[in-house]
Amino acid sequence: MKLDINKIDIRTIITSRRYMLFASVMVVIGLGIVIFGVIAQVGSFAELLTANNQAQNTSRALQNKVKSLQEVDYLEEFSKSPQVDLALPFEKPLLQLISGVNSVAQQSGVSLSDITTSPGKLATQSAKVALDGTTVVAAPQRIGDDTKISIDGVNVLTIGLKARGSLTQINTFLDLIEKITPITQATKFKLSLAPAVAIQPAASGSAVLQTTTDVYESELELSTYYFAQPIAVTVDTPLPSIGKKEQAFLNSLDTYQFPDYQKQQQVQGGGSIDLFGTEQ
Amino acid sequence: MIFVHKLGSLAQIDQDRQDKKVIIQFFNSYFGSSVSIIGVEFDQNQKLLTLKLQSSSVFELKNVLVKLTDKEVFDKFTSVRPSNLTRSLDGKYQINVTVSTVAPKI
Repeated sequence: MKLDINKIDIRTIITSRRYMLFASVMVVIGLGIVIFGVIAQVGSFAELLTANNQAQNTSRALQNKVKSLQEVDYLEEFSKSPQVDLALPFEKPLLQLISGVNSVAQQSGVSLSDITTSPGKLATQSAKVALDGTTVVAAPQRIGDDTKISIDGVNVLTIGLKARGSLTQINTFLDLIEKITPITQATKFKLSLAPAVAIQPAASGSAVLQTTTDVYESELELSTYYFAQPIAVTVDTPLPSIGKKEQAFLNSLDTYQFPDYQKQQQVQGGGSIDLFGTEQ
Repeated sequence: MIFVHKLGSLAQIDQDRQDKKVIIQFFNSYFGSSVSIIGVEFDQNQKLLTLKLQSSSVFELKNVLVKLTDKEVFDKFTSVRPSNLTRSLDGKYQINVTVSTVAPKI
């Protein structure tokens, strides 16, 4: 039987099937509520759930970090923090290095000469431009010019010197120099027979040149290191752990020499109370 | 955090020094007593150690060049490069040997 759509009487349907019609309308409204009300909320609910999980993870990480930080003071490794700070200081350790080198020279018996460094070199290229108004041309690296060197996450300060003594004495000097703090190593070494020395015999008044066969002269470049670099980490980053290599170094730190160097805390001398004459 | 970073840097510097020392000791005995090491230069950035060797006989330095091509040397170091063979005013012969200090297998 074929249904003729033109013969459907809407009024009859509304009269006789009004409950079914009402129910249909309610179903449509219900579906509308589900689609536009509930499903739309599912997305934001999922986002909220994810954010909540992330916040919980961050909170857990922070709690662990706080716990770790509370335990740090009791760690055996951290008790050596003062020695580590002396081995790798935060400031340029020129005076500490010279003090240490002097101590090692006395122990090994070598005599030092021609110590060269330029720690006062202008720190930045812009400072140089501001000072003399010239264009800066990149120059080759020179001794003591440590403004651009950064190795293994630390800055380097290099000094040059000549050490004079017997082979054994120079060898001892080189061994001991790697056992001082701040941590130091010889990065350049050139050995040669010491040049002839002018001596004045008691009998005659004229000086004569005497060559020495067992006295050597070594030209050295010593590099020491300091830590002056920023570390960027987020608050919830866990504390890094100390590896085997680091642990081994910590254990060997007891064998290092710590030169008796007192850090200067205030300007000494002068005696001028009103330095700039502002109180007159 | 800073303590561990400092410790890591110190351990790395110490490792570099140990590697450098091991290489110097190896080559000091490897070439024999007729060849002396009279100069050392360590490039910290490239981790390259340049040894300046000296001998009174040029044939000893020729022997050095031959020894540098030995399998023993290739097995131990990632890179070994001789250069700058010169004769000094006092009649001695010198040659530079540049060695990579990255992970010597000694």
